[in-house]
Amino acid sequence: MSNDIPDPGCGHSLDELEEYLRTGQSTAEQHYERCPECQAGLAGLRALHRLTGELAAADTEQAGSADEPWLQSILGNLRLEMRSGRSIPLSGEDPEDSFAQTEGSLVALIRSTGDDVAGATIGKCRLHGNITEPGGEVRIEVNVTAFFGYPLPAMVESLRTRIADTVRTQTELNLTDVDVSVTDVHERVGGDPRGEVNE
Amino acid sequence: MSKDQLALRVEEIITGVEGVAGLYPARSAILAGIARTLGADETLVDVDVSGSRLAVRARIAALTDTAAPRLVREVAAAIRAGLAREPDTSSLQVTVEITVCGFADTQFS
Repeated sequence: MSNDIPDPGCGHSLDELEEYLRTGQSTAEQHYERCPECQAGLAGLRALHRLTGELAAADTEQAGSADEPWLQSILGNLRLEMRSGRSIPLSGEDPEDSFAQTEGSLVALIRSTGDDVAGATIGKCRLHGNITEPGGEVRIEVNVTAFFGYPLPAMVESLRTRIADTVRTQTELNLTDVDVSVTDVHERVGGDPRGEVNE
Repeated sequence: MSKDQLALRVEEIITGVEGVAGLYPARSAILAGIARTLGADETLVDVDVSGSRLAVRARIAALTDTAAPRLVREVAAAIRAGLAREPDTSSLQVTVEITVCGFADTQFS
């Protein structure tokens, strides 16, 4: 999973985070523990590790290759989403106060919410709209890698419901739509996932 | 109360609010790391007293089961209430800037 491009945001790269996850050691460990961008990156990499660990043995070698397009796509999106991004305003009672949340924190939360749906791993997550305006409209675009055997319509519906609930609870944005696209399907080790999608 | 003591008091107030998972350095993590490397004192919360005004700036993580919009308002209210009880700060006009920079399932250790 190598990448020579230094990542934006806090200055640390996805490669450094990957190395930290692999070895459990880093001179920047204290930074990782206190940096929201790095924590979002680590959470995404852990989800990705779960996904690659569950892939069929026949796919595993390819799955671990940096040349694998779908894996590159997920890593590329994760790298992009490590940025704190735009500032999303939150309302306050005192006009002197200023409250906001970062786009990166919301994207990481959506990614985490989606990854909790059985058989699904979020590959890309974008917030479309003028989210820097109070109560601005937002459309969520999510790409998903799914394990073979799960009923995709139920998975997509579960994702849409969970993501919509999360955005409505955790923001003051006006959610217009959640677009979910299943972009890859992979076989799981051990085969039969029983086809159950958690609600 | 020194500036650092004030920052630590505000830090204590914020982390005591139900639904706050933890604090990130108010400055960027890189600047905080540089300060730590140089041996400079470092507080997670930024406080600035100017005349009769006290500005508080903090970056927090929210617990995932807590609504962030409500949480930031509760944090601001807790800061005002807490500082109103301190003799050194009770007369100051407090402004609060809170940014939610992350969500976590559990509180930071």
